[in-house]
Amino acid sequence: MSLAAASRKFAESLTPPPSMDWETLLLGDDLKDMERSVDRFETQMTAWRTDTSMKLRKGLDVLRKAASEVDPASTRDIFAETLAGAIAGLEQAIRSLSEPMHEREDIIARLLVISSLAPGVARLVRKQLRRVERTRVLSYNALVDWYYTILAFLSEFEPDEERGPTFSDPAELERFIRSDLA
Amino acid sequence: VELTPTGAFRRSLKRLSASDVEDTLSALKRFQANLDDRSLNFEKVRNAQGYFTIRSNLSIRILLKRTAPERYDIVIVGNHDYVYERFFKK
Repeated sequence: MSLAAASRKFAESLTPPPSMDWETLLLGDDLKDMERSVDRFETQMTAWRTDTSMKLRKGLDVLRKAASEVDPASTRDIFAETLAGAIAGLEQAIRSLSEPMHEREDIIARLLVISSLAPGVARLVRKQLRRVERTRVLSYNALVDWYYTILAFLSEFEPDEERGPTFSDPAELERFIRSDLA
Repeated sequence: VELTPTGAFRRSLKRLSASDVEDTLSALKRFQANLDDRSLNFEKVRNAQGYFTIRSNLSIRILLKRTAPERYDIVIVGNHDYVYERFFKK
């Protein structure tokens, strides 16, 4: 398989996270239904994180090996085109998880109705939502980690001649960066 | 700490707003002065060995590569930060 094909295959392998089915969750007959829905969501998200992490590590190893057989300039061009799609996909997924579920207006309105059904229900609903929020944060942070992993991978193919000098003095580093920006 | 800016870092810096550039320069200065500065939220990139990120501000992090115990390449600026759990207001 060519490097471009392997790179495209890698980008396609990074699937978006499973979404929470709020309709089912909030229309459940009782709190047990809600708990089961959250269980399912947690399980699906955990499986997705494990699976994507593995695909990412293995996929990048395959690309690293394939890239060693192609000249560096071509490698950079191929990755710039194909991995941009992978990064865009991760960024879209990051945006989709950027808002806590319990801060969405439509969810709040329905939760208030459910919570008023009987004494003590609000506490149990809060408990389930805390689990949903924990899952969201774990998944969001995994996506951010994968985003930086791909940026780190791309940096392996940066030409050495573009590296600047090494600085031990913060003032000199700042002067160098500012003059570069001017 | 010794820092080496890469070409990708310099290019990524040119795409930032003036205030984000200032935040990034400030973060690098603090990192050079004290590796353990907690405000930088130094994090290991779990899937990339030898790579770390520090916080410029709440939406920007700097990717670093450790090349020796107190020597890092400044790899690139990325526009995502890690988040923490947010609790209910009501």
